[in-house]
Amino acid sequence: MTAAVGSPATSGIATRPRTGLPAWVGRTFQLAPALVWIAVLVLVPNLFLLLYSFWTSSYGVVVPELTTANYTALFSSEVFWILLRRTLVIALVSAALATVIAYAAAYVIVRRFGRYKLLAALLILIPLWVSYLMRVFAWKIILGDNGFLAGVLRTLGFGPDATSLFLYSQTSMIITLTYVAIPYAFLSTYTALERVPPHLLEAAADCGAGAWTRFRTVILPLTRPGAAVGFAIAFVLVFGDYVTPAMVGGLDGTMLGTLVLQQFGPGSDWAGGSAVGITIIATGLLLLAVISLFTRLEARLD
Amino acid sequence: MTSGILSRPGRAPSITRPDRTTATRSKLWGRVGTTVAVVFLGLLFLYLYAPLLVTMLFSFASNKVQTLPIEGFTWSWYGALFADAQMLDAIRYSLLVAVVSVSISAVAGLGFALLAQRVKVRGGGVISALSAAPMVAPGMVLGISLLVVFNLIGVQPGFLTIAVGHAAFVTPLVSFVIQQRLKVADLSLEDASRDLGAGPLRTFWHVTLPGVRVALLAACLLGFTLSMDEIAVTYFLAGTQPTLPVYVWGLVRFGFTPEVNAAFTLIGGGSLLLLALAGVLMLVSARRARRQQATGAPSDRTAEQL
Amino acid sequence: MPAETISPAEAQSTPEAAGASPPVVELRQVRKVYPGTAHPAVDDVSIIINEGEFFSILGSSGSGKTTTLRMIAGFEQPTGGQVLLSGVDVSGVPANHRDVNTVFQNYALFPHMKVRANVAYPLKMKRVSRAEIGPRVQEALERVDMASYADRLPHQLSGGQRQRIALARALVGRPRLLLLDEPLGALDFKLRESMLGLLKRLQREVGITFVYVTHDQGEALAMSDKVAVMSKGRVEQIGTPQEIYRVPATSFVAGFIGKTNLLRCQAAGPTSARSGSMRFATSSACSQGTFSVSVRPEAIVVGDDARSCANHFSGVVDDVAFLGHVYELQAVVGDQRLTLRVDEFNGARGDVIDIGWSAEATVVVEEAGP
Repeated sequence: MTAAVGSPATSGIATRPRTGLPAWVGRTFQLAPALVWIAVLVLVPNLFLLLYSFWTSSYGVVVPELTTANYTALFSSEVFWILLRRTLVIALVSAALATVIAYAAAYVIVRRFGRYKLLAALLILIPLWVSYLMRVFAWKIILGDNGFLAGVLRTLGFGPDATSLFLYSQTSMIITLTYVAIPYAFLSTYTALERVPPHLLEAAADCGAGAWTRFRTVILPLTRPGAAVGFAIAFVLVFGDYVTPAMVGGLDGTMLGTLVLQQFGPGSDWAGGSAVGITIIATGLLLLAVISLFTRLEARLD
Repeated sequence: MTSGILSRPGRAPSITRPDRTTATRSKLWGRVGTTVAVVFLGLLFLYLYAPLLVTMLFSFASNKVQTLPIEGFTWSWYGALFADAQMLDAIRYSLLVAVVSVSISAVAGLGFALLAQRVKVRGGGVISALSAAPMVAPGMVLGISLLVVFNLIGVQPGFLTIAVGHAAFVTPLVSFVIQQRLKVADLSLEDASRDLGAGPLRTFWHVTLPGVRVALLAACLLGFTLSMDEIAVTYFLAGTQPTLPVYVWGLVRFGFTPEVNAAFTLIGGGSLLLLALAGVLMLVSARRARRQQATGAPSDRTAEQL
Repeated sequence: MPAETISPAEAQSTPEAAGASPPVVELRQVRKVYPGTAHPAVDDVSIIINEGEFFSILGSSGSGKTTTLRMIAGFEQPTGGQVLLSGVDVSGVPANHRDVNTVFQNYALFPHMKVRANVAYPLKMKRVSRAEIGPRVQEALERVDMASYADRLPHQLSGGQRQRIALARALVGRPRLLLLDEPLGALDFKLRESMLGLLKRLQREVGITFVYVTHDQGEALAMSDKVAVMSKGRVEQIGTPQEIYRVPATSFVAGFIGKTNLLRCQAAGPTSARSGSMRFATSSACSQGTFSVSVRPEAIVVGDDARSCANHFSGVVDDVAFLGHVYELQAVVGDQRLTLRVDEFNGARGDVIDIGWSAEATVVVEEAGP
């Protein structure tokens, strides 16, 4: 909608006079589809999930009786705390590893690949578009007791001790989830690094800064928010995953997501599952809040 | 020349601080750095692509157990795959889901992209962040939150629930791709069209849509691969008829057959093919955008760019 | 005056040993070819810049002037030839090891640092003590009249203010040489004028050698002690602004610097030439074959004054434009069309007038190109 066209009544040029509604009415009206979409697919479902977590499960059916029993049961169960701690550790470690690796890769690609940087960046992002299940399952083949890596190690002469430490452990979870998270973390770190104007680095060199100092005083401060966003995305994705634990996790690799899967599936405790789901969402939002707080604080400081 | 401002006690008259070894040293460091960078990226690519290659390798291996050494070459897993009626059903079902959900997403995503470009309101950032949430949040969250709503309003899990779930995360993707294209679009073209007497509808049809057509197609291809591959959301929303990933998930969780590798290889290959096609389309679209800009008015940048 | 003209060929043969100290900057047959391009960006450029000079490199976009500057700064390495700073060959020495500072065209202020931190940056890099940094930053900011903006972030400043901060940052380290890459390119006319004044004042105060890259001939003439005119990667002429303007060495320089009448002609004698039906005396010896002469519009006089000139013709006024301080006339002489500028003119289109100019104003210029 273009700006107001003046008063059409007086001039003979206007062929169709416009009715005079305030602009914001039109804008809201135009936005309506988007607002409805968000309400139906994002807000309402999550509100109902929240509601469910306060309802009562009885014999596989959820009845609308408000209760905090789901949460008290959850928070008083030792298993929950074990799973929460483990999920946090796995998610933090693999998101951090993924961010560091993605940052290094993005740095190398932006600074050294010149005109081929887009190609190199695409090569890192392509696995995102290949079946998640396939990629995770492939790690089961690679890390399995009789798997690919074990076979390689055996031919190299390592004993069975070395080969049994992979599958169904936290290590295998971290290897797989880091792998899964790298392209996500890469997306935002690469964008951030690409946006650092080259002339700023020239200016820093001109002022006498060496390569490391240029990185420390110019590139890092300018790209830290992007890296933080990458870390947050990686963390949130990993934190709510249930496919990977089911594939390569085994007993030691069970995570909160596994619990949700169990309660919505065979456990038939949807209210309890919703409570776990809400816990996962809350943790993710909490991390996002902390990160955005830090980036904002940092921006305010020098 | 030794005015007060410039005099610096104890400073050599040379304008370059270090001696000549700096040049050779920095050159050496550059070479070491390049080597380290290349090795690092090589290892990273190995890490990223090893799973894909391993799956492909074992889809042709006659081994019953997925381990080295490879015993021999065989097509039999692919044969078994196409003899599995349930698998074929699942593939057909997944294709149908993908077509329907991508169609919804194409319309919605295009609409939202145009809205985001034109209608600037306070809180617009929040709106676009919220609409992108299903794309970036873990699939499980979208899956269970939709599941409880469908359950409340009495919709049984099935085709509709899956299609809605997929549209929820494909739409932000389509919208994002088109918004990237719209960033370089020339809004004055639409003004010109209106100026020449075309109404909003005809302007959309003759000016706006042709500008984003290729990008829209590319976005649909990307969305299609996502929909075909999705498991985390779908698992909660699927009814008795599983989609392909849900069916395969069942296979690999409860008793594993090597034909899964063949299925994965085909899915992966199909995804890469669509991805390549989408990439080519986006390249074409970007080039066209640049050409259109070149024919437009010259930008008022006076900067000399060498 | 013609004898003082320094052509590129003479400049490069100037020995470095003549004086006590070597020049601040010396380029010796410098060449730069970017990979994947057919033509060199900079080709066989030899320039000598002396201590304390305000030296301008003037050229249009793509002339290689910015590339030349970047090679002096150390952002680019020459493909051939040598860059000497204070007599030392600096090939391969990166920018951070050169005591040269640059004012970037787009300012290149660090967006995440306050003005104070931006200006302090080069001092920190030189490990200047904390106690000394504060006063020196303050002094630099005062020098560019920006002391009250020390705690702002760059995005809170206007273009002209950012430019001043960039200048302060480049000067605070007291470099021997300051490079300015079209520093006024992004500013509007009014700001340019005040920045020009500031630059000139600063250079006088601190006495640092300035190398100033610009496409604006007015800036170059007004500011410089010496100007190098570049075109297509080559130096066309190096000289004082007066030399460049009055005695252009090539027809490119004559056409690029101000308005001029370029007449293609043939030698008609030792110091006379023929162009169509016109025959006139020239300032210096004519070369054989075809060449061009340059006659500035303001060197041409009309009316009675014209009759006493060495070169005197009669022409028909074709167009008159009043430019405020002068009248600009288009006149047709035989088959030639001349532009001339006079203080007063009362005639009209179609009038027949006397036109004349001196032999000294008829400058023989080389042909540009074959």
